[in-house]
Amino acid sequence: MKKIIALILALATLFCFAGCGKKKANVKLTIINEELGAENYGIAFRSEDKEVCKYIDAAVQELVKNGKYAEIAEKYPDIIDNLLFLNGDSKYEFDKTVDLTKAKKRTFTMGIDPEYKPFSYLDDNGEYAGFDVEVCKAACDILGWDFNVFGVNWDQKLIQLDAKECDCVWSGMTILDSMKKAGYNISAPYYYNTQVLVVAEDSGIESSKDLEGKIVAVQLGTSGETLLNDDLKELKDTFQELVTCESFMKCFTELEGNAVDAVFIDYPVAKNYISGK
Amino acid sequence: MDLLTIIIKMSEGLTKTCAIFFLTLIFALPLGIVIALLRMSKIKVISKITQFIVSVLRGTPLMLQLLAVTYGPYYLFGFSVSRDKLIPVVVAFAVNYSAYFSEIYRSGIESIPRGQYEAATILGYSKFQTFIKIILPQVFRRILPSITNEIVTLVKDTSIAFTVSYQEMFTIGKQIANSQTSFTPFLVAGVFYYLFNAIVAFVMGKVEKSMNYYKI
Repeated sequence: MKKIIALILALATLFCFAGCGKKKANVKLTIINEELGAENYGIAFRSEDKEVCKYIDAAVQELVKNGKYAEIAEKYPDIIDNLLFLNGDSKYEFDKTVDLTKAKKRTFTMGIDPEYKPFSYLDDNGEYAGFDVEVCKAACDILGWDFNVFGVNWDQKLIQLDAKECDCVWSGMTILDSMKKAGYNISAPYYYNTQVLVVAEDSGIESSKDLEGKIVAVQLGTSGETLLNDDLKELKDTFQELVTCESFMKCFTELEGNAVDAVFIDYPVAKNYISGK
Repeated sequence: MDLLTIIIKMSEGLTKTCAIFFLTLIFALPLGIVIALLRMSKIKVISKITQFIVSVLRGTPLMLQLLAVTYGPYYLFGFSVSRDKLIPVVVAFAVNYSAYFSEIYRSGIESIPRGQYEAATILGYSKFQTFIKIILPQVFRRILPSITNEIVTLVKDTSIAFTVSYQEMFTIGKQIANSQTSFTPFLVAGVFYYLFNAIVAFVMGKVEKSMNYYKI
């Protein structure tokens, strides 16, 4: 008797968990066509790693020259238009004196947000993939470095960088002035990004002005959050509440579950999520 | 941002932390007694089912239960996710903590010698009266140190509510730490938690003293 009851209950639990795996996809999301913040993505290195930063910059330029960079970019159609090295918008002055052959052999650990598709994510085989990961791997090949990936806790990425858990943060990361001020070495900007709002299609929200009294979600530690607390503070003050989530996936779950009215997020990630559904 | 601003900002989150703390205690402490009594029921089926539920609640992480309560109904049945996150958070915390409390209550109730029940019966007390007037006060006195232990853990566990995007004190600390690229908010959070627990320990010490009458 006892065993039977235990078995039935165990099965019931299993059934519940199996149900959790099913994804509800009946909520149509849409991106509001309004650019709320313009910024550039870059790579952050520790303050003492000026050399490493130069080597990576030079290696990436080498990739651009030999066409490998464009080859990788082809695989990510959502982001290709805004890559600064490919569309000729990069005004960065590179240090031409760097000699790639002089790079000493080492292990290079790249710090990524493993949930930031299409820049860095875990693919179906459980391997790290994404545009940034592939570029870093190719750059390491040029430099003769051993390539390694470390998934950081996004809201503590710079602390983990300082603690030498990784050698750079390279994962669709916005360059902030506060990072430069704190002494981090920042690479050449490589991606032009805008912040956008994602809402449910039938919500009737058409611009940021319609957000008065609404609940908006943003991922903790992203530039979007910084922006809302800084340059866009007036917009934020019209919200009923700004909710910070630990990953952008959770932001979208909240939006689909109607717990928030809009998600404030980087354009490529929003586009990729909506097209991938 | 100077230290004072950080403290003020984080204090705003502290009210939400307190909301989880007090509501959880209000619901979990009585619910624990109910579960303990069901667990000790003479009807085998009830006792076994309760035992199983308690083992699941204690055997899975609180974070997982929090996610299940908040997003489970949405994924399973398509219900919308609650806008006021306090409700699912308190439900998950109260249910989880009542499982722990129930075992503490059970240990207390079972530690009361059989002779007291017999004496009470001879003196003409009904079963219910015996339990409320004689047994329970002694149980409370005996289990208070263990309860204090759990309550102290509860104070620190409130930070888990961030998993479901509830904006409590530690979340606000993380937000500030991010935007300022600074470590100070974590120190402030540590001090806040410590002070909170110091108050809890002080109050529970007083309660313990006031119940010394029931000490055997």
